Amino acid sequence: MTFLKNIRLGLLHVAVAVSLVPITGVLNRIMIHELGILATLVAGLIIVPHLLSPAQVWIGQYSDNHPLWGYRRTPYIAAGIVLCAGGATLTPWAALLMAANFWPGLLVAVLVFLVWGVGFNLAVVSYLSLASDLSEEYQRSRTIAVMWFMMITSVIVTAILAGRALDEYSPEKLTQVFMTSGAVSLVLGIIGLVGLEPRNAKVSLDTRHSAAEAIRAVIAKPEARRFFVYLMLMLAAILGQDVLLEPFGAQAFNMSVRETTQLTATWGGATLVALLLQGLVLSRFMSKKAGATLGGILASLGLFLIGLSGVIASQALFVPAIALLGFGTGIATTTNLALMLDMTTPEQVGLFIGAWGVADSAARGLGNLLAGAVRDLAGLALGSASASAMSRSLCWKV
Amino acid sequence: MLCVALVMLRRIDVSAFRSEQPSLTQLIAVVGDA
Repeated sequence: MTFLKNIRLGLLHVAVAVSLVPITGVLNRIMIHELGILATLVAGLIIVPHLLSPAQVWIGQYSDNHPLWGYRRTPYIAAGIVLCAGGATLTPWAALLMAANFWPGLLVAVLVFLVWGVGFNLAVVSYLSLASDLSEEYQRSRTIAVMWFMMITSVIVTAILAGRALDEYSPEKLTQVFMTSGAVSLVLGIIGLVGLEPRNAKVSLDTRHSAAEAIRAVIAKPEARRFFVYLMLMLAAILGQDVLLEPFGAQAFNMSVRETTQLTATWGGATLVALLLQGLVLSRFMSKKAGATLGGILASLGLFLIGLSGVIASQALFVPAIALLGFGTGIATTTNLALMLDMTTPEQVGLFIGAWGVADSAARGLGNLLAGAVRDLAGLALGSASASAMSRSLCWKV
Repeated sequence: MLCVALVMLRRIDVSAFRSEQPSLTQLIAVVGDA
């Protein structure tokens, strides 16, 4: 595959990320802080794509066997990006409707987030399949790595630009930002997709493993089973901050929408640096287990300092603590992934990679839901608005 | 949760596993796949 084709595949990944960042970096804060919607409910809506992720195997198998107009992936990717961008564009309206008229708003929000979640999974599994179709076996890792780098860079850039656009927050500006990101997502999708897949191409299709098959393969080995439980706990603890980070910054430090949106860039940038540092340098000097321990300790320290920053009301501590959390996450991700690959035989690598995906999705879902619930319960128990910031600090420490 | 996870990690015997160092590209590819 040529480098240009690889870049165009990366644009598909970027198209989905551009529609995603405003939801996980802006709308979560607006819904919880500005609109006063329960964090548990917001978390429940934002994790919809993760809840639907087991359907990726079925979607992939269906598109393997049901090409449309001679194209095995293009129609599914196009439909996925349209649903993803369209659903994401409608989410702020649903949130504002929820604040104004709760039950009809909630119904609309569930529908809109479902559209977004279905589109996300449809697009992701289809363009990853296209990446496999277009790459030779030896090229596939490089192809996906280039796509991932483009995606994480776009997350950082989108967070910075969305934050700038929302310097002075208003519902009108919010909807404008979402419409713009939706339009950009569609344009990038068109540039990436048109003409990328050859018509009536003959491809060798890999076996797709369901989530249940992947988990069965892992729990068959006692040591791998223990590792899987550890992995779920670790990922849920680290990734559970996703929904609460921005509302915490708003409530504890009165940070503007611009400032809290750019926290995503801080976290993502630190994760990227750590990933490169671990992969290129630290892995030469440190065992994987030591690296996983270091990543976990750094992430714990980051979470503790985030909590502490709320207690002592220090914004100067808050932002570096987020960078530390991101850095620990990057180290933990690469080392734990390497450990997981060590547990399997070369024949079962596909199943174990599937298990990593299951652990990642389940942990994000579980972690965010738990964080939202703890935040709401602590706020309820402490009972006053002034105690709310403290409750969030307690939540971080948990 | 992280503390419990770290205690669990200490007790996992990794000496029984294979010991290969996948390249950064391979690791990122798996992260990208997930």
